[in-house]
Amino acid sequence: MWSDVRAAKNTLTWTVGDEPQPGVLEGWGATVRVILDARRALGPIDPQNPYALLASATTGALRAAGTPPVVDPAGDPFADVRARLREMVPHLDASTTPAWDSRLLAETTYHLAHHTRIQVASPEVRRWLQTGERAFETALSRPSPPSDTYAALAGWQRALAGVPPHSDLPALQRGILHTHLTVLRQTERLLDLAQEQSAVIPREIVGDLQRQVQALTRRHRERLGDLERQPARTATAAEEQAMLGVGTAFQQLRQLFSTRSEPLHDQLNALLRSGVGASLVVAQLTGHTAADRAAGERLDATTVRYFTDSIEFGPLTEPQPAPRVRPTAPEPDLRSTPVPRVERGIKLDPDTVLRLVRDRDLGMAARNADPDNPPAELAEIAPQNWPALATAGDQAIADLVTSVAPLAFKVTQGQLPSEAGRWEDFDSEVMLDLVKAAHAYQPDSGASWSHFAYVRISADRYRSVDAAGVRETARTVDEDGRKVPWRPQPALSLEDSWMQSRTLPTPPNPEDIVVGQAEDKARSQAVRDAIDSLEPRQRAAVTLHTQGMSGRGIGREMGVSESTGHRDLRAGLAQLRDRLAPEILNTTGHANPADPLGRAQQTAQRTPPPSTPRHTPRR
Amino acid sequence: MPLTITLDTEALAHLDQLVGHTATLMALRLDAVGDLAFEAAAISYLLAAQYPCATPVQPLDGLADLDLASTVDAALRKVQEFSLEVITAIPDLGQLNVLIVELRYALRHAAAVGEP
Repeated sequence: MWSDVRAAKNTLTWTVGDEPQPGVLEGWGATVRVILDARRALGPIDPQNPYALLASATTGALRAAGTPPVVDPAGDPFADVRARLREMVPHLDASTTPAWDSRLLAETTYHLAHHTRIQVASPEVRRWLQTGERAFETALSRPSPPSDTYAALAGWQRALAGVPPHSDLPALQRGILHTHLTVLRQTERLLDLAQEQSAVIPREIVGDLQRQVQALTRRHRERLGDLERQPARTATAAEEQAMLGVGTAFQQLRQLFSTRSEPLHDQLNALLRSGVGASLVVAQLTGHTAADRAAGERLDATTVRYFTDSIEFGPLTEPQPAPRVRPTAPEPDLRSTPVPRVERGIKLDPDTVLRLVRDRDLGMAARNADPDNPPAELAEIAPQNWPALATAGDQAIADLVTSVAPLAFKVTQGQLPSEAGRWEDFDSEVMLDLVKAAHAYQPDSGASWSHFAYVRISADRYRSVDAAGVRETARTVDEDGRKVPWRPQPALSLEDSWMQSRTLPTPPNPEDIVVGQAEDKARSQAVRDAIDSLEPRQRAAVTLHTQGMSGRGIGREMGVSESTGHRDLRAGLAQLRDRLAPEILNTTGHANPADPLGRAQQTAQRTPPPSTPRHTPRR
Repeated sequence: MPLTITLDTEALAHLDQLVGHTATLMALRLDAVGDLAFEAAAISYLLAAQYPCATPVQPLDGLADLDLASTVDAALRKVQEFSLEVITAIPDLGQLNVLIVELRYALRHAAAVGEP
């Protein structure tokens, strides 16, 4: 059987590119379908299989050529070899000599793919065919075990095959470049590791690859900068579909690289085997200049050299996992996070606050003290008891923070959390600010703890948000459009002011907010839900009204007339009145905020506030 | 009667532009903070592809000239403009919000300790 196929293959005429044989690409497309049938007879085709890559590469080539799937028998150089292959398919069986048949089929496929490529004149089509050929070239040179990375990269190649050739849609090009940057970043990271462990892979190859990866990264960045200046246009249905495919591949690759599901040397192996994420094709699809495309080609060629030169590739040692976001500090140990003893939002009496502050100070002193040179406040306490004091100090901070956490949420979000998930999403920065405030608070300053926390959080929020230019814009123009001096206004009191005030509300006394929190929670949640459920214009009108705007100001903000602004506001308020009463009765409390608090507290402990007493160890 | 949620797809596209610009600016940074930017970019791109805008969405004014901090701030503002209903219906938006907050925190923290 195989001898017939080989004989038919030997009758093919080998010419090179400039004078392409007519019908070669159409014939190749039909031949690939028969090859896939033969391979399926030997077992299922996994995504990481080179046949899967051949299929998507052929799809890409046919799309790039705009070739119809119908083959003209008169101009099909593959007709004979395809017929021989088809005759053979029923005789292929995975249970009898599969290794031999597999090997012969792979070799035949590689030769035919190569034969096709050199006869195609179009560089775009040729790059696609080269990608499919590469898959067999590397697999035959050095077989590798199945790899998650290889499978994900095969998915990436399929997504690229779905991209309409010559599409210049900026959003689509941007997605391709960002996804490929993800692949390049991971490759560069692994190459850095290989460079450190020089026995793993020859330094020369690593150096070549690093230079080319970096060059392509820089070109991608420049191209992305250009794309951000290009005007958008309407996407075709094919382009929208392609964006979806690229986005899915982007997501899969990101997840893969962040989970470390396989040894790093397997991952690097798969990345190199893929021509580092089909760099050839990416450069073709997105490259603006010949230099862009050449950068992709150089990287692809170097990866092939690595496989075909039979260079040995040793295992990479896993580095110690780095902290995910905050590289300078260890992740908090949540097992030691104190559980707050007080109810959220409860008003602490002055004696309790004094006791908690005393515990806090003792805890901080115990945490930082030198047993050989104890500070005065610890002089009477045995050093073996200091850890317990430190724990009590943490507990005191947790209690202080918990007592004002709803207040902070109001100040920062303008609303109370409702579902369990909202506490999980609680802005960790706010919690950190609260913990810092709890460290800094001094009762002898005259301010109550809740007032102190309110001022600290408000100041921090306004600083950070105004730096981004949000609240300042909203507050420095009055309802007639005149500029007014900016002064901090709390972003809370949605429920307190919307039915009462037509002018900017006076900041409420923070004590009043904390007191009666339990009743307030249910009410504010119901109001928030009701406002969120309004139609957009009514919701906007009511929201602007809560910020003190009249109908004229609302109309101006919304770009409608004054009377329309009035009408939207009236309609919104009427809807709210109808909806509120029954819903207030059905609301529930909050989820446990222990985790965000624990995280914030651990972070704060790593950077003690300036007010914390420090003790110099005795030398 | 099924609940209907209105999603501002133009705002989603603008959010994607901002997050994408953030990733571009951090392309040469191989640390965990850079990974965070690309993680956010992957989510925002897929969201924009899943919910495309019916009309072409032009690039935000001055986007290409925005620096990193301003871009992240703008992305945070943009993602927080979506209502709670939308975020509940599209959990990836909530995840994106968290990632941008973390990224913003990490960038400020890194700057404070003199990291690149």
